[in-house]
Amino acid sequence: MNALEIASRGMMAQQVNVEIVANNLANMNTTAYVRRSAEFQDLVYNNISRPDTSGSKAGALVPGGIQAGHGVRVAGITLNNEQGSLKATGNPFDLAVQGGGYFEISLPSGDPAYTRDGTFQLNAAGELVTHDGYPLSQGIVVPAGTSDVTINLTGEVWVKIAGQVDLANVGQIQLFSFINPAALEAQGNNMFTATTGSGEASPGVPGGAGYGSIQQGYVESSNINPIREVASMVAAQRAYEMNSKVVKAADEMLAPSK
Amino acid sequence: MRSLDIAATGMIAQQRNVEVVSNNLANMNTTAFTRRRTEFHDLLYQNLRRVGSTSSNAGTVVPSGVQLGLGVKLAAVYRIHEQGNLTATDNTFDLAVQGKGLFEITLPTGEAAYSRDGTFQLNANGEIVTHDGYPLQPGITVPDNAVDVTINAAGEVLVKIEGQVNLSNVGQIQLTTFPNEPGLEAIGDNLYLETPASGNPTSGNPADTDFGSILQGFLETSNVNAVEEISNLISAQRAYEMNSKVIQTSDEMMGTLNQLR
Repeated sequence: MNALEIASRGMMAQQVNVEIVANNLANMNTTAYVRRSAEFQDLVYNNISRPDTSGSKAGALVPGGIQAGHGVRVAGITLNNEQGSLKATGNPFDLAVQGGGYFEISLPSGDPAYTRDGTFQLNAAGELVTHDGYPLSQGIVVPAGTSDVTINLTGEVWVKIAGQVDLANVGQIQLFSFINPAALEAQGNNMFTATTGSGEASPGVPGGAGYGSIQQGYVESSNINPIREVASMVAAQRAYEMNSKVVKAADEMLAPSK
Repeated sequence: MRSLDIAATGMIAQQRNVEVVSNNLANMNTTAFTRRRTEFHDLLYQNLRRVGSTSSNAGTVVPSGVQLGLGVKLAAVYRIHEQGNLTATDNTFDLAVQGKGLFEITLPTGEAAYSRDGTFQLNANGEIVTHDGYPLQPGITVPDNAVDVTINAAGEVLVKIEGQVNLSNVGQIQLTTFPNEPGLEAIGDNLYLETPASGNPTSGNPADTDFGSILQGFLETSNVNAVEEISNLISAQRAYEMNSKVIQTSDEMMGTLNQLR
């Protein structure tokens, strides 16, 4: 009885679908979270009668054949890297990227990680760090005695040091882009690492071709659209129920032979 | 059924969001209160099919893989140290700091605490103290025959003593700055403590380079923006409700499963 197996695979696939919706909705207010969606693929086929075999001596071909499917599987969960809306916070170290590109963070292991969550803070040494205390890889240090910090669209960090007339440039924030950002590996904590699929990170100046600009005092909201999520949750639940009906029917068909 | 747990992390996160908003709104009229913002991070991922792995011996690469996220967590609640508005009170010992710097207060334990709340008063000995009676550091005593007290922008406390022509200087108010003010630990009562994240305190005279100036007869209001808080509250409540829908859906799906046999 293949129907039992096939329908149970359908139920499992729809369960993953609901889990993805659950994660998207749970991260609705997560800074720079990008929504995920499931890609389903059909499983292998059993050729009961192969299409294009000849049905007679005269060379008449079987037009459709009989291919029995075996169900469904989750082939991929893709990141939909659309721009999220920008939200004003008024904090000088909240940076949003408008356009493409990621900030590069140095992990404690020394490896780079990439994020679009630009809610930075200063540590005791005046260095620009994430909420976990990991520094921005360009190592921007705001000197003591700074009364004001301005980060412009192209990522230059200008500080007003008390007693000096001119603003001083203390560093340049860089952005990193990937050929296929949808293939970045999510690490949690709003961070990603590069994979073979994403390609190498290529650094660039914000505002340059292919790189977004930096907006100081803003954070990028998640790009979750609640309507889409609720709709796909409803669809997934109904598909789940329909698959369960198939399981039930298969069970009832088996019943007399028990 | 992971979706139950995932949606539960979402509901817990939104509850924290509402708690932070309610604390901001509750402190709307608290002197020198700095508003807080919640920062959420995604939780870890289960790799069901690793992204970037090769899918055949021809070297084809899986472009996105199957990474199943497991929810959300509260990463930080951080303070936004923007200057609040100044409001005139005309009280002699209400001091506002315009610019950087905090007053240093000595706690009863002898420990140093820091505050931007400059609503001071005098105690029985004429010392300048907070509303809890904790003295300002360095200690300043106003003599009891003083008829008038003037505190200038540089923090000098000048008193007019009856019968004297010139004002006499009875002390110098100092301010303290930190490399990372949001790293200070809030202990309530508008007081902060030094932490390894804040860096070491630097003391100096007001209106010097790198220090703000003192305004007598003014207070710094909180920097809470009511419009922003209300919109955060609405979005948090709706997100909470949507996560509860996921729990309901998961429950119904398990109900469906139970009806199979």
